Amino acid sequence: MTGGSGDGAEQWDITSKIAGNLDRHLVFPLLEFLQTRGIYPEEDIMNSKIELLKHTNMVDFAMDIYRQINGTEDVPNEMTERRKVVIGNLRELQATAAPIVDFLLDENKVKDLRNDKAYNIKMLQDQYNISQDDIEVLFKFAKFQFECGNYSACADFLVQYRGLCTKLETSFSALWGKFASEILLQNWNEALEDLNKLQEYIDSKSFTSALAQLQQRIWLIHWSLFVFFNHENGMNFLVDMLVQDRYINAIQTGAPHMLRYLAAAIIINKKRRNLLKELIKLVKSERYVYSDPVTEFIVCLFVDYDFEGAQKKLKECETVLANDYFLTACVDDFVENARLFIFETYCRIHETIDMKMLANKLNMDQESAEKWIANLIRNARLNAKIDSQQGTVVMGSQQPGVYEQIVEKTKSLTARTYHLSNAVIGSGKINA
Amino acid sequence: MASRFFARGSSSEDDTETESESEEYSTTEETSSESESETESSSESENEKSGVNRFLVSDSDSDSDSEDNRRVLRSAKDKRVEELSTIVEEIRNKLKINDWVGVGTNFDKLNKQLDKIRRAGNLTKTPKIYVKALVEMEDALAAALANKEAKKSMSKSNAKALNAMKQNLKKNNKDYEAEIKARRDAGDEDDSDEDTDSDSYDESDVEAEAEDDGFEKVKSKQEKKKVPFTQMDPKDITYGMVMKKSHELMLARGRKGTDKRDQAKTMEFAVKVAKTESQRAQMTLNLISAFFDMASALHTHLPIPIWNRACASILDVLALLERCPYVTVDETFEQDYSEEQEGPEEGAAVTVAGNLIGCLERLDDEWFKSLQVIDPHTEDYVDRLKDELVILAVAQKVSNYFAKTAQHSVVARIALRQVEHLYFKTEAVYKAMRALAEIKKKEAASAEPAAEPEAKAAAAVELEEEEIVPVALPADFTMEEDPHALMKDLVHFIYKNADERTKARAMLCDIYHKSIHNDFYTARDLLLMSHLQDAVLNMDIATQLLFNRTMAQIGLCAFRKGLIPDAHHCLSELYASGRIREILAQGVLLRYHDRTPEQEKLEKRRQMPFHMHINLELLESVNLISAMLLETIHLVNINTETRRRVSKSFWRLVEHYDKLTFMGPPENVRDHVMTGTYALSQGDWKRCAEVISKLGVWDLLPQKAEVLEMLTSKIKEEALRIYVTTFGPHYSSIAVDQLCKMFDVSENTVQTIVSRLIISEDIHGSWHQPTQTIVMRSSSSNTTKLQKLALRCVSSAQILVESNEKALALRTGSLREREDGGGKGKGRGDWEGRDGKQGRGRKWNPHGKATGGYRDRKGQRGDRGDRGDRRDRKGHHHRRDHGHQDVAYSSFQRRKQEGPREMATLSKRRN
Repeated sequence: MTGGSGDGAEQWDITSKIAGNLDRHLVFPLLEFLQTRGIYPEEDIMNSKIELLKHTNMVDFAMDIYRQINGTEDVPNEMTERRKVVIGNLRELQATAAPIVDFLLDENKVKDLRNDKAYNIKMLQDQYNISQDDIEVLFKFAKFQFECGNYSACADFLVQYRGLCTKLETSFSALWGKFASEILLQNWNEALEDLNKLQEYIDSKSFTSALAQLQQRIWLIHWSLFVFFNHENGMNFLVDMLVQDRYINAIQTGAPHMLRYLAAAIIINKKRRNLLKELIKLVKSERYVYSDPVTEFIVCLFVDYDFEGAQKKLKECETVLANDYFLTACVDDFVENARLFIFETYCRIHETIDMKMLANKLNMDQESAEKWIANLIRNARLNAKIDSQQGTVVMGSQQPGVYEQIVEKTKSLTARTYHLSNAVIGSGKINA
Repeated sequence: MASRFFARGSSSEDDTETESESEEYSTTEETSSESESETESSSESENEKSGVNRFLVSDSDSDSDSEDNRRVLRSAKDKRVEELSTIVEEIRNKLKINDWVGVGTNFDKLNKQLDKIRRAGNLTKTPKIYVKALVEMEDALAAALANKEAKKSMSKSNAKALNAMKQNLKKNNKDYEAEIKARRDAGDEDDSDEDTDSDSYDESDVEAEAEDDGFEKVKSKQEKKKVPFTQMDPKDITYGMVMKKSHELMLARGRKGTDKRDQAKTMEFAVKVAKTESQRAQMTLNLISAFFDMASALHTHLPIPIWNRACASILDVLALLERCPYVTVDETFEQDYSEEQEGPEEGAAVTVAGNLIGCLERLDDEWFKSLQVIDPHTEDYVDRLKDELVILAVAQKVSNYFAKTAQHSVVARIALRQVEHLYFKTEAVYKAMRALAEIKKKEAASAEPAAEPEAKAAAAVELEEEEIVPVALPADFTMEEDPHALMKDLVHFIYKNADERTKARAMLCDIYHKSIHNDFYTARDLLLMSHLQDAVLNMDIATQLLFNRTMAQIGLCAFRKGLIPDAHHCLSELYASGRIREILAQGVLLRYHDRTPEQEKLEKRRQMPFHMHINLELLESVNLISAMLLETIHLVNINTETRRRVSKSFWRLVEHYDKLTFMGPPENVRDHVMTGTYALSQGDWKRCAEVISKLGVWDLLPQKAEVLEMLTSKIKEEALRIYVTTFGPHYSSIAVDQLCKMFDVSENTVQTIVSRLIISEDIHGSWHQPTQTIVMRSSSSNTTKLQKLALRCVSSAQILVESNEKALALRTGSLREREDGGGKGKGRGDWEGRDGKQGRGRKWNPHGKATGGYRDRKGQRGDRGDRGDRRDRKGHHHRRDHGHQDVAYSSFQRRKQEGPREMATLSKRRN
């Protein structure tokens, strides 16, 4: 995927990095998105789509695309061959999976199932002559359905399968499958549930090697992006998940490009400002492996205090975000919040700021800038005043007086000493 | 009883003996007179004074008239002859009554006496009487041994003495073989020196320690047999014979009194006469071990000519193995050494016993040892270094051999050896080595066809000559073009196939290699992710040393890259121990006198050869300069508490220099850095940069210009920081332009640095944006002394409460863990500026396993603000102790066996 127009957008495009950690089917939306953005030549995208579909069972879809590209009605032989094979496989699987599928399709029978796995298996065996193997076939069948793009069927089957299966390994795979299906069906709530289940599972499960566990985590991070950026409270969940040590480790070792999403989420999410410091360190330490306008923005603003640079980066961020499948929806939020950050930091180190200049920097005319600042002062409880005659913002002294300092420092001492003495006496009593 | 008496000492017996001698003199007259004439001729050349018997020394000194002197001379000669003949007579008597105990003692005496005579003057010829006695004894011995019945009836001690005598005499007679033969030829019947004794290795083993006097070079019985063997016509030798001989040789290995040279010689002959290829392989392998046996002790290296020979032999074996794929070498294989066997058919699969990898490792070790000993400034050293190619060639071949049989763990072992030869070489050195290899190969190729057969034959003969025959590099030796690729291949192979220690070593070598090639981040990540920092404390000393060296290289690499805090972090740990030479294995300190010689020897054996040394001056410069850049700001701001200090050694140095009344112009590294520090503390970056760049060590860096440039810019920034914090309070406002001019930096840099200081509240001021000035809020003017004291009191109180809490927490587990977490926001904001390691701290633990204390502490860095900070310093201390332990541990290991006293000193030092 080279060439194409776009204003440096493809330079920061990390789709290919992300795609490597996604399921084929999940990559598809990304490609669709890229197509609409038009940073890459149409043909390239189409070709990669076909490439993508080659290994799935969505043969008809691939044929369509092929026709679209080449403008002919003919399709290459291999595709038709493949089609035959797929259909053959489908028939075969359908036949073998028939008993269990029939059973599951019959609602009355399904009612007989209980919450007890052992009982269910025994019951199936006794009453319907459905053996363990048949259940395993169900898994295969679901997988096949997924490959064919029949996600809802797949999800249904997998739910049932997980209710019946006994093997941990396949149950785990099934969960991944279900997660993928839910994502593709855009059932974000269910997907979130699955995500949490998976997370729990990965963290608790003792993997044979730490490496495998790491890989699972990296996948999970990537897949979860779909959920987080579509769920209403997703950003929060994203931050929650990624700031955990183990996920930070995973990001650092395997997927530094995820920093973009973490950074964006933290900037957008005002409540998570306390994590900013953490983020800065992370971004700084990973600068040598990964940097893009979003992370550079953070470095400029909080490490170098280079406001001009930050402003520039912010502009770049806009294009980057707009061309990012996941972040495209929150460009405005991001820009607004980033601006706020710039202003706040600016205020912290300045005593007097020229409003004209500020307006300039914030891309506003002076009057609206004044309003914006006034609002900010109110909201952020900044100790600042506007001197409208001189057209400046004057910051109040932030330095607390000696008196305040002492009060501040001694405030907690009493309580702490109290706790301390309590603890000492308490332990003494126990000893006595 | 008599024997006892005699044994007491040969110097004082004359007086008491003379009577008994005179009685017996008549009986021995013929022989002694005969011998007298002989010995006289030999003793004429004797120096008179030194020939004087000790008893008479005083006489000859006091009266010096010539007559007397003459008399004395005669008497001395007489005495000597008398003594000899007396002893010989005694022996004869003892022989007659078959008293072998007596014979043995007298024989010892005889030898002593002879030795004395010899010491007294330059005796050119053995006294005839002595030779005669030997012959007689030999005969009697043969008779006694032949007479089995008599032997049986002997008393136990007597029989034992007989056996001892047999051994002694044999050894002794070796030296006089010619004389004895002459004597026999001349007078007595030709008594051929047949092998009277059956194979009695075990006996000889028990009794071999009997010889203790000056005649060390006595040869054991086996030698005697071999001499004819080596002179045999190769055509007469059968497969089985060769096997048997080599087996005998092997059994004699390591025995006292075995002449290793002879062994090797015989073995070489065996190689020459070997009947089949497999036998040749076997013999060559045996020969190699014989060569290796010639190293006299563990701490001395194998003589270089022998090393060369051994190396050539190994190459021979390898070539043979290549030529004859049906021959395999197996370490555990038991070779059949019976004499009767026939050689296997040519081409049939044969196994020979031998340890190729052992040979390789030994070869490598000996090479390493020799480099430790050779003076690095001589041509010899360089020549020796060139042999590294041969080792690599051998390693490659051995590795190929084992790779064919898919013995991956062995190949990994070899790979580690190869890696250890490569890791410390920069790309330039590697290229040079490769070029040398090409040249050598050409040389070898041109020389080989002409001189091969003769050279080999010659080599076999001239073992005695200490001439260095360089080993020709095999023609099929290839060196990879790219050292990185080569390293990568080897190291990855090791990761896949080797045990933990090999892996760890390979990893360290890899990191080292990456560091010297300026790949800092990869090197660091490798180090952190591999958890080597924790594991290394439990590893062997050699690996710990390698770890220390790797840390040093990472530090240097970070410095070259301008990552001062990282550089300092790596190096200060090493320097904290105060024994940098020792922990880098680049020299032994004599400071600890409590080491036993063995410990010292051990330590010496661990030393790195010169070409692998890390330049200590450079290391020290980098360490001190990094400390300077990090610490000067704290030096200047007296009010920053001690907690911010990072480098203890730097502070010690500062304190030391503070005490000096007069500071001369800088001479060594420390002087330079200290002068720089003082300049920097005044904000005088020009002077500082000038002094620092005068250091000679920068010439050692290939990227000198860049490094100096980096240093200058760092110094500028630091000077700016220092200037603003120190002198800022004296200003009411400072213009950015002025700062730019003063420190020759861009406006942006000033902005960044000052903003950072404002945010971290290191200066009390803020920007006045319209005029581009910094407005200082002078805090000192409106705080009274009382207020200052109150502030100090409060912080003391805080510390008190904290330490109380900590003390309690120690007892009860974690008391206020939660509040520690809650205290997050409290910290001062300057963490980002000063400490980039937080993220890394996390990375130490990529897989979420339980972490070691150090990493945890690191990880918490910055979360905790003030309190965390102090605690973190604790972490530093702790870690530094660890650094010390790296070495302390090694000495600890050594000391372990030494008992409580040593332990006590150790713990004292630790404290």
